[in-house]
Amino acid sequence: MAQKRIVKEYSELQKNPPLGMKISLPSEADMHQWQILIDGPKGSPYEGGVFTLQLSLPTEYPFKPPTLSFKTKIYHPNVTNDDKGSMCLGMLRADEWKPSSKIDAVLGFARRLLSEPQPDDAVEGGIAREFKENKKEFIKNAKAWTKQYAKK
Amino acid sequence: MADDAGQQRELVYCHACENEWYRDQHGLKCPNCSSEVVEIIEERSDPRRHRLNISNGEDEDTVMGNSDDRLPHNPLPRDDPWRDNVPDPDEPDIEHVEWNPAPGVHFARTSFRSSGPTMRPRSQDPNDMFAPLFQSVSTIFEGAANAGRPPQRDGPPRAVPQILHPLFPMGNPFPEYQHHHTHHHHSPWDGPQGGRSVFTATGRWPPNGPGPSPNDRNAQNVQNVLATLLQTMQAGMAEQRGQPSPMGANLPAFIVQMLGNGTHGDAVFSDEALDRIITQMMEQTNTNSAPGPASAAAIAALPKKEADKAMMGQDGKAECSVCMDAVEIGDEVTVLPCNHWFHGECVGAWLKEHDTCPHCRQGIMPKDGPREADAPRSPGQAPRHNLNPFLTTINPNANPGTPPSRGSGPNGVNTQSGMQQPYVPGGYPGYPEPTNPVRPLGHHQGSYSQPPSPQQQQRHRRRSAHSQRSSNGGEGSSGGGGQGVTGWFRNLRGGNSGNR
Repeated sequence: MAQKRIVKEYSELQKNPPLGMKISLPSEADMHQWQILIDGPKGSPYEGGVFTLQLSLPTEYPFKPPTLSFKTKIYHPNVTNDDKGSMCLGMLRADEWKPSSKIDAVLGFARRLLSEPQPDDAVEGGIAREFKENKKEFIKNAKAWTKQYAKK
Repeated sequence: MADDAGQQRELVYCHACENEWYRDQHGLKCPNCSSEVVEIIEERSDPRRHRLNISNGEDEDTVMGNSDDRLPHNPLPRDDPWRDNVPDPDEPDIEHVEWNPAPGVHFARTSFRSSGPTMRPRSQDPNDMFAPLFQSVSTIFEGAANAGRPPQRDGPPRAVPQILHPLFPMGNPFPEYQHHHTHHHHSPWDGPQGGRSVFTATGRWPPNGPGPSPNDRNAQNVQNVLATLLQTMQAGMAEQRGQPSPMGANLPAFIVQMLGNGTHGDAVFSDEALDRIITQMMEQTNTNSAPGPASAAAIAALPKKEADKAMMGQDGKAECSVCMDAVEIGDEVTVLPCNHWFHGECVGAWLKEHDTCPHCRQGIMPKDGPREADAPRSPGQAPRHNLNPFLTTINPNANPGTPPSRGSGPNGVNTQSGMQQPYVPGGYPGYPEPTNPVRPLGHHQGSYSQPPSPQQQQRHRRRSAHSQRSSNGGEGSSGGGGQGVTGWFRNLRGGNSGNR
């Protein structure tokens, strides 16, 4: 089931790509690894940058949730600043996942999180604090990182 | 077992029965008790070490003098930097190590653990580097807040407590010097399988005894040590972010590496690192908090029907939202008590693992009734599991036929996302408005008093698991949350009095 549904979702997303995203397969042979390029949302400090994300679909998909990680370094309270770049997405947690959730929605959610960081649910506490208490500095840093790491 | 054998062959240790064997002989499953809770012994991480401490209940000198005798079977060379300073703890489950890397700097680490039968195997996957820390809960001591307080004992001056017993305050010979903060006292990792680490970094009291006014000097001394530590940590972090570190070279590379990574052994040194570990641990264990399976009999007893015209969406099409295959009129589908329908095979595969509707997350098992009920609930009966944060209504009079198919367009958004539209049953064709409001049922509903964002949902769970360790400073927090090392220390010091 996994393969069929994944192919289906992939082709739907190719037909109607979500706003500001490019979806591709790094290896045509492996439908379970997707590469997503997300444009930094307008009005956010990530604007002008392109962020590479990796979406991994487990073989049990859709019974097990996909995982999403940033391959491009990003200064964001909800993305871990480590080599994993894990994005903290509630809907992808095993106990909150449901099979009717679509990748389309997952990606939309991820992009939304770029526009609207959730400092109260941060994985990077320092960045979250800065976001809340010193927005100016946060924006400056986020922009600097975008410029440095997420160049088009 | 000679030393050279241990270097060439991987030795595996069973946490369940304490058996040891070579990996190339018996693999990663205990040949003795068949447990898979095993760990490959490494020089830096020897799971037996805490047992070593147990095995000798005498004083430090004895421990050091006899350590080789105590370990006739230990193939590992004695090159552990910690080990020469390992004093013997009085408690069997405590590993206590100390280190004085520089004059005036004193590290101590105490790990508490009980090796329950469910400990995880150490993974060799570098991505899984936190796995060994799964049950580690970080507790932090420090002496800074003591600095201004006169020592309340006579006799020779001495270092700040060498033996720390946060779990057993009665046994602590220096209670007045102790301050500890415990992260998430009630985390799911506490308890029988729990372990935790205490990390202390303090300065020595003046070597020449309590002078007329030692306190100010003490304070200064400790402050200096803390400042040094802090700089080191920041330097480590700076390095991590690719910036040069002016301080990095001044202290042993070991510390920098340790602090820069934010993790070492069972201890973590930054909130972010701890958070990552917790998150990872939760990811590894979070199926525990999900509803269990529905009973096979109940799944089999779910009503089936032929898809009819009323079940088709506005465009006359419908699909099973699990496999996303089209469902035509006349196809047999299985209908859940919530009235969502799917291919029988598809929904069965999900329900046998999770008693929630793949679409609205209400379970099929009745709330009241035996654990292994052999029939699903009736539509009017409350579900045992209801993970739908928005749908606080069960709908006994719903029309049959509820196309889960949404296709693309506005209805295609994922309704679980709190940032998007909340799930509105009436928003789907053929789905009637809820008519019979009831309170959310089941313990999973506890935190959903209002529609939270998915992240808030997640945070709820993590908070409860972290026991309020948050940047807003929940009680019991070490104050680690959300502010990096600086705040970590600040909170640590500021919050001391409450926890003493």
